[in-house]
Amino acid sequence: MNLSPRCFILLLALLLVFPSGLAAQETGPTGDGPEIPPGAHEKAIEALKRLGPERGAKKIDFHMARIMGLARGIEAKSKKIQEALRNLNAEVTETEIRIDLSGDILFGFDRWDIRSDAEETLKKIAGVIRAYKSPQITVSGHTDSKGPEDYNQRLSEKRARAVKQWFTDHAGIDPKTIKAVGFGETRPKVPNTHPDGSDDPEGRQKNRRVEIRIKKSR
Amino acid sequence: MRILSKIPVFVFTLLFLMGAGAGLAGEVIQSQEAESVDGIEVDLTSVKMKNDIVTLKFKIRNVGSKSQNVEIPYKSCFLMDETNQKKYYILKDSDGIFIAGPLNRRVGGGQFSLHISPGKSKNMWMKFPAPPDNPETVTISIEGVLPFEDVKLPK
Repeated sequence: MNLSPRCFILLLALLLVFPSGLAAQETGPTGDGPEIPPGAHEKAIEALKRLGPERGAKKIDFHMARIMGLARGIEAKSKKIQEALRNLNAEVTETEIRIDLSGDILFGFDRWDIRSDAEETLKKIAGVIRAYKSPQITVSGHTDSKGPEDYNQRLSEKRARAVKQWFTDHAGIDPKTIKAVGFGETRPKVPNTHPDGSDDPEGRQKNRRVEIRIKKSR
Repeated sequence: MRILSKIPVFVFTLLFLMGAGAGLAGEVIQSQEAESVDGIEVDLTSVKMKNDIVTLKFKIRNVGSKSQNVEIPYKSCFLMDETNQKKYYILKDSDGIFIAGPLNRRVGGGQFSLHISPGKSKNMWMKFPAPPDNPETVTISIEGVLPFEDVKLPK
């Protein structure tokens, strides 16, 4: 492909003018819709001058404050959050939301790094935390009774910390609001053995879990 | 001249990448659901401050399976400075029309009123006075949509 110097200059000019032209004009966000007309900002400056130093501020009264509080409540009750709570089998009480996650879903055997296929679940929980503007979240790790007690204790602590880390790193939750604790095998949900003393794999599976308690904001 | 012959390819590639980049630049600051219309979600895509004017851009998306008619009267939209307990309405031009768009209907100072098909989106923008008390964050209230809270204002 041969290029005459004239063509080259034309293309170079296009290259320089194209982005600056975009920057000079306010454009709408990606999608279908109008661009902001070029004179809109000048009109806005004039409008601002007419408003004076208070810029048209209206006091938010008690009635408005109540509406704002109501709006927050609506947000927490929005369809998406309600659906997430249902999917997570969450228990919602007056003061908190309780979510129990199977350790087998979150982690591989004997591991404490979050499985990639568990991230969708954690994303839903992060959405709940944000919607309720929770001031305090407790993440507690629990294991079954198989293996040495001190090993299980350490594993449960590491798993709780891993969940906390995920919320902090991937969902932007303030780490100061999350408490991570490990209880090892000391707080089983169900017995680890059958009444005759034989091993109960199903019971142990239920005990390998992470409990998340999301305190509601007042 | 061999190098010059490769320049068109380079230039077009660059232009293509710039176009693609502009397409990908659809940042979403916060999303909220519409409470009044099923399947409608609203993305806040841009918050800019210039000459003490806050310009907001939104993308209104239909994520449902039915076409929806979305109506937002601009007179009902406001920006709240909760710290100083004040609220601010969209600026109006000298004819009393809100400086916002699209202006599909001019009644009541103007309103967004569009049909959005499933999977499609429409953009909306509005200009507010910047709160003089310079709060770090504001809440944006749009009728029928859950509030956009803790929206950071650029300095």
